[in-house]
Amino acid sequence: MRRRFLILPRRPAALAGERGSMLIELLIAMTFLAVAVGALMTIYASTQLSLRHTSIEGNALTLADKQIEVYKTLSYDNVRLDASTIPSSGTDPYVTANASDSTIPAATGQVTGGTVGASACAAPTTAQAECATQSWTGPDGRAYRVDSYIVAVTPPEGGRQVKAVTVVVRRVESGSPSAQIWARATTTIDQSNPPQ
Amino acid sequence: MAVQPASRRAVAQRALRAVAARLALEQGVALVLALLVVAALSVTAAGLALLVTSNEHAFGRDRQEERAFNVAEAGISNAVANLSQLNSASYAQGATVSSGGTYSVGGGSYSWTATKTLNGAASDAWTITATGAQGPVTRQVSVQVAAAKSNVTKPASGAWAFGIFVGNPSGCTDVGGSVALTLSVFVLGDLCMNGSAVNSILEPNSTGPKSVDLYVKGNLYVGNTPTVGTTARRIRSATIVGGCFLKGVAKICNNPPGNPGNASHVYADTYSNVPLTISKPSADAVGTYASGDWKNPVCSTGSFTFDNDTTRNTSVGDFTVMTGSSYNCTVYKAGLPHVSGNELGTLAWNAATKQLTISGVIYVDGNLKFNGGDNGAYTGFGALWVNGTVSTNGNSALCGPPSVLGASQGTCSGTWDGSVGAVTITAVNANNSSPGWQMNGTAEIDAAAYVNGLFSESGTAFVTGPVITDSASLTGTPKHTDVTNPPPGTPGASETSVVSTWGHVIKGTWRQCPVSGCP
Repeated sequence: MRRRFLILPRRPAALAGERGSMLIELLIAMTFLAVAVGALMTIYASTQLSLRHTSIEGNALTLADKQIEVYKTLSYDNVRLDASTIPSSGTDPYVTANASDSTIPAATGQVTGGTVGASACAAPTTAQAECATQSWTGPDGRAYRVDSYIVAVTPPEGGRQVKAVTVVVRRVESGSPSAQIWARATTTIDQSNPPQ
Repeated sequence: MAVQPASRRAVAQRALRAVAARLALEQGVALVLALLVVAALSVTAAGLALLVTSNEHAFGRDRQEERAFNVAEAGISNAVANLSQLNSASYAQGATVSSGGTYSVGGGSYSWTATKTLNGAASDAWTITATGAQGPVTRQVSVQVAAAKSNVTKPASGAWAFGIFVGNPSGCTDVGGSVALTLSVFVLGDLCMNGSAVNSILEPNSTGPKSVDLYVKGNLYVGNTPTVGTTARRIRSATIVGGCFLKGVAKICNNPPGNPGNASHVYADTYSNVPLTISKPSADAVGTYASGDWKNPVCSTGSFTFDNDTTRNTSVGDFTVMTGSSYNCTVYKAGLPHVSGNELGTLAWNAATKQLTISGVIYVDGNLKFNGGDNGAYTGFGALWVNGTVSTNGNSALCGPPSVLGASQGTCSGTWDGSVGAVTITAVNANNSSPGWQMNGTAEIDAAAYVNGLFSESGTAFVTGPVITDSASLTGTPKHTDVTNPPPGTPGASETSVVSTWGHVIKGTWRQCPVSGCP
């Protein structure tokens, strides 16, 4: 038996010529690429932001640790702040931090008696003891402010008095410390400090 | 009708030729390439995003690790602060102290345990392990802390420096009779001297160093004839905080030399009205009774009953230590084997030589009676606790070394020296009898006495050593021996204890522990 085939209608003459098909392909390809590259750029930007954030946090954490380590090397009596270095302005982040985060001590009621002087805390080359606030240039070249809080507390489980040291690190932007805390560290120091 | 193989080959060849023709035209290649490039970029972007996410996650964990570490360090500091309040010497090796829970610091939480890992002669060592937690991250650190040991001696109560110490702030302590008190007197209440003696309280010697001090927290009431000291031989000092009354009329206590008025009948080298802070030392009868296995003494000779029923109830009844037959019995510490090293006290009596030997702490759950004819001398240093009362009934003597029994009953020959041997007798007076200690007839007891309740002397019976009591009714004391440092185990005796001085973290012992914990 003879096989019968479906006979399609003939293409219009304009399409039959296949002229301009290359342009259409190119437009579609360009659209795909544009969307893909756009998404990629967004990811790159986000990545860049994230890496920068991580870098700042890492540097801030290093500075906080350095500051804590300074106090761990001091005798108990010398774990204190110079009262003249505690910011007096009510709007300074050092003072306002307690309002937004109760685990950060208040600016008042701290252990003072240090005599280091405010000038020594302005831009020290190494972590300085007794400074309530001090400004540093971090390893990444950015400016940071390291705030220290020292309060005398009795351990909740009982015992003699210890000193709780809290270090908070902020970035300095346009000459002012940011409200955002990039790193913080808290420990307590017993009267037998430092380890022999 | 089946298609022949030759025809199939022809169809396939035509199809291949059509594809080749299409490829030769290169139509749609740009789209395919674009898709490939997009796919590659997508894979790269996904990888990058994954990398950054992983990096952030890892850094976040690093940050928590760091904070957990500082919190764990805080736990170590707080543990040392807590341990410093304890006396390490009172803990056995292996004893454990812990934080008893989890506590917050700086947004994290910590807990700690401390184990006594060394019980040395000169110092102890404790190993502290603290765990800090920050979010899901925990860190554990461990250190050893040393605690040096040293002996601390608590001096004997100042009450033992007085011949008579009356600790009850109310009532009047009566001094009567015709024999003077030749010893220092401390009365927290009032002192009433209504006897017939010309001199009621005076120095024992007419010349040489003086030794008698009088302290009256309340008022001193003097009758017609008694005096404190004399114009010729004043006592060393008189401290009368309340005031002086002579025959019921208020007088100025101070009778300075050259003042013939002798207004108050109180003659002393110095006068004061500044109160002292000495109080009657407490007697831990419960603790002392619980410290020994009194019901089961080990006797090498004879027997002696210290207790009948392991209950502190005066079950022995009346007893004497100077029995008709000899005994030599040792009592051991409660809960420990009856072997050498665990002895608490030994009491021995030789009925033939009338010699009593005492050492350590002895507790008898009864009433001590010195009956007529109970005469003996003792050696050694010991604290004799009597759960009930103490009484003498004439012609009794307990002579302290180096004195010996006198020629007549109820007397001792020589003078007792408390540094050669001393016995303290504590009348616990568990039933609050009155008096707690009664002296009748003729008797000399060379011992220091501690009495709960009333101490009463009458006749010619007296206790030679110092007497600490709540209240007293006194006649004279013809002999007196100072025992300012009574034997160990006596209420208010000097005590030496081992105390700890907590030091620093022992060098080289700080370490971080693995996740599984410190071994």
